[in-house]
Amino acid sequence: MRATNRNANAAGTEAGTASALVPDNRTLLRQRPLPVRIADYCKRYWQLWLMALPGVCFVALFSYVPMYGIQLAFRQYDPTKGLTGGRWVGFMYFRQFFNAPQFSNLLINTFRISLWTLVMGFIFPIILALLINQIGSTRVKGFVQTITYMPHFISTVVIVTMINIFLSPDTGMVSKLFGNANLMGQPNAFTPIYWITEVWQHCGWNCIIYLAALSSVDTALYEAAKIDGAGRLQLIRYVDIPTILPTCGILLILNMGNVLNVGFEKIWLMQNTLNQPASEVISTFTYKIGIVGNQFSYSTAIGLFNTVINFVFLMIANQVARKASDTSIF
Amino acid sequence: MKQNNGRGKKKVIAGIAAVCAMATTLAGCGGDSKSSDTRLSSDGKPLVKIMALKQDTDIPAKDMVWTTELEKACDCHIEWQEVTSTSWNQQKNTTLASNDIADISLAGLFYAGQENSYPIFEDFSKHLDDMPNVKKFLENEPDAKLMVQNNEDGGIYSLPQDSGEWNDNSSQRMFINKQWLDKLGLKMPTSAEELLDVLRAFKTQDPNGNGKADEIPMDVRKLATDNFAWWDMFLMMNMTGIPTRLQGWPGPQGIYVDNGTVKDWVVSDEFKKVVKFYNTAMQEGLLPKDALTHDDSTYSTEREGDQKTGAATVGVSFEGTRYWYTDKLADQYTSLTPFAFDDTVDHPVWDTSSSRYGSGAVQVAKDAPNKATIWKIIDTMYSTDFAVQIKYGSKFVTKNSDGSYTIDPSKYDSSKEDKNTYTLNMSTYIPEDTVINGDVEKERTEEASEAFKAARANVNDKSYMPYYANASGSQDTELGSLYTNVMTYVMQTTGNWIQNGGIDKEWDDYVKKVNNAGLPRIIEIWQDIYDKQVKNRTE
Repeated sequence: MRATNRNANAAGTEAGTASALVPDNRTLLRQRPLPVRIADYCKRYWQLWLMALPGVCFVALFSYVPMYGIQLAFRQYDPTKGLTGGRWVGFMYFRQFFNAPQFSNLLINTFRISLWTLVMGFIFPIILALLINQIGSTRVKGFVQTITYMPHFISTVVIVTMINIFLSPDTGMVSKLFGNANLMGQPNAFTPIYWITEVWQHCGWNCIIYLAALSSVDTALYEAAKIDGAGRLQLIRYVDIPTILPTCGILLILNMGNVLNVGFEKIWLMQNTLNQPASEVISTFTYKIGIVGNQFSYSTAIGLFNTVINFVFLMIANQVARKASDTSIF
Repeated sequence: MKQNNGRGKKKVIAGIAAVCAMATTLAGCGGDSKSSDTRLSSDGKPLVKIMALKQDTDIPAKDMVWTTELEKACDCHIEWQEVTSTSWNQQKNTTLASNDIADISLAGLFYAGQENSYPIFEDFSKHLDDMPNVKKFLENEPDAKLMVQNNEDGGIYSLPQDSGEWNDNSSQRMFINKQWLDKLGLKMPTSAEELLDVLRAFKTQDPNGNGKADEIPMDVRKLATDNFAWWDMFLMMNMTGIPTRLQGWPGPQGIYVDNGTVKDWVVSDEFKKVVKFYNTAMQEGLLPKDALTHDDSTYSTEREGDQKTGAATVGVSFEGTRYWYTDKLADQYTSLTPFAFDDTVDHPVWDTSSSRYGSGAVQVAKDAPNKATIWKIIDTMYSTDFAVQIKYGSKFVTKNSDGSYTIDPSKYDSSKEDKNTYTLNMSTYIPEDTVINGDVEKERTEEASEAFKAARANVNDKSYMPYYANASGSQDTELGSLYTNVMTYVMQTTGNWIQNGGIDKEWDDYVKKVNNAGLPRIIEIWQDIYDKQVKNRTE
């Protein structure tokens, strides 16, 4: 655009008066003084801004303003002096956390549980979406979809109670398959139990977005591939998967931002004395120390550490995705 | 022209809508100011805000008859706010940190010693003349006063409660199914070995006579993840001669006193013996396979026996009274007298908790308005009439013409439909010379604790941390993180040993790790507290 303008202007000055009769709107608009440009912008787009204004205020008030409280991680909290009145101690609480005897165990548990859940929770919805997409009849498809996403709405407490009942030794349905062992009491079994039940519960809901992407595939592509002799599996491999790859990429990046945020409630409910070496994660530790143990500064420091790691992961994932496939969030 | 007008109106409407939408985000804001010294309700009478700890079965506080009579007696309006005990655990610290407590706090929201970290409570000792009933209580029961008196400035920031002399024993007891013992021709066990034999007999010889091997010879509550809890399986430590005190800090961390020296039994040889005992029981199937992890509701169901045939299923367990096995099965059970664990133990002892005095009955906020009314309210609560109603529930109390009280037996009928409790979970003070007829709980407790009297007498004064020894604010913070580091490791390892064995091999490594995690520092702090606060008091 710029190139053509320049050429046009050059041509104009050369040609003389002929081109001066054709005003170049873009440069004219850009050359107006700043206050005039702002006023014009407001007149054009004020409705959009008004629509977004409540949301902006809400996020500003409840997400950005409380950020001043992060200084609690660097101050020694004194209840008589309030949030900002404590003594400045710098990185003392971070050092205390890194030197705590449970630190390496906490980090290993958190990473292990969250990476397993991330990877498995990423693969299975895709497989399920591809399978559901193959169903011919729309009624059967809708029925299967409804059945699979129903467990998503069951509350965590009920799910964990179900887990406890199914896995209770001697009487549980599933524990009979494992020789009546007390599975909930084995540290090695904790991660598999966690991610298997996570996948079972949320697979149906998460595959909805992939199904939406798959429904936008051009049927002409299927026909072209079939003419070339593609079987069912090859159709999936060459048509379906490339279609949903951008969606996969974006969802993967979003989930990477949650790597250290292993959900608190489910782990807390599933924890017991025997599986604690494998089930103590950063969020449950912070709860015990901060809320129950009354150490606000220490737990703020741990939470800040958690958030910073998540942010770094998000950035890395975004960069990698941009380099690899041109899809990225920012 | 017309189009312009329409646009103008649209702008105005859009503007109003946007302002309203934004105003909804401010809906959460609110608050009232406590700047003046009085707060009046709409009809000019003082308005007092009271917060109370609520159990799940309590009826709303304003429906408990004594609360309305309280309003009449103090000529004021009371606004009640109740918090359930399950959610209070998480709300408590944040409420304290925000300095936003109610005018009066009741039924165990806060305890004596809290004022060391949060100086927002009123000192009662300066106002005792305004509350003659409370003054009389503290004079008659100096031990109660000792329990709440602040160690540094001698003030009283939380009023104590007295549940009666018959409660001056541990509510944590051990029971055995006597009917089964009689049926199999066995005697009461007098050592750990004999107890194991009895449990084996329970498992194999079908004492409940229903032809199924569904007996649970011994049942225990699951291990907590970060300390020893009430009615814990480690009450067995008492059989080895080391007294537990699972009721208040630092007992749940295993701290006890041996003739003036503070020690911790989690690294003692006696602890090894008890863990081995439970491991043997677990290996032989004498404990349920999921005993260490099963939910408390599963435990309660097991305790109630077979629902269909009414046969008992549990042989030995730790409870409060034998009526905890349900009224129908209660007659089968009896208290298990503490025995010496083995030949090396001279005298078994028993848990040194006491349910008599509590230190968290009433607290008042320092900047609460209407102080004169507040003193009147508290004084009325400590008068005998109100004390009896608060303890038993106005619905069940009748005052007789001679000044004695009678309790309606329907209060103790566990088969009735109405499972509500009609009063808060607290008491105030009932003078010893008051006659109360029909207190079934008192009879049951006295009967259950009879067997433990001898063992408790074996505990000398220098063998336990008394209830009035409190940590200061900064000590509390340091202890908090030490407790987490040490006890999480202890509970995990203990659970693993009981379930899977291996204690002999791993014991030395365990002791080293526990010491590295900070146990010596915990003992050092408590020795300091003991020396300063206990040795200096003359008994």
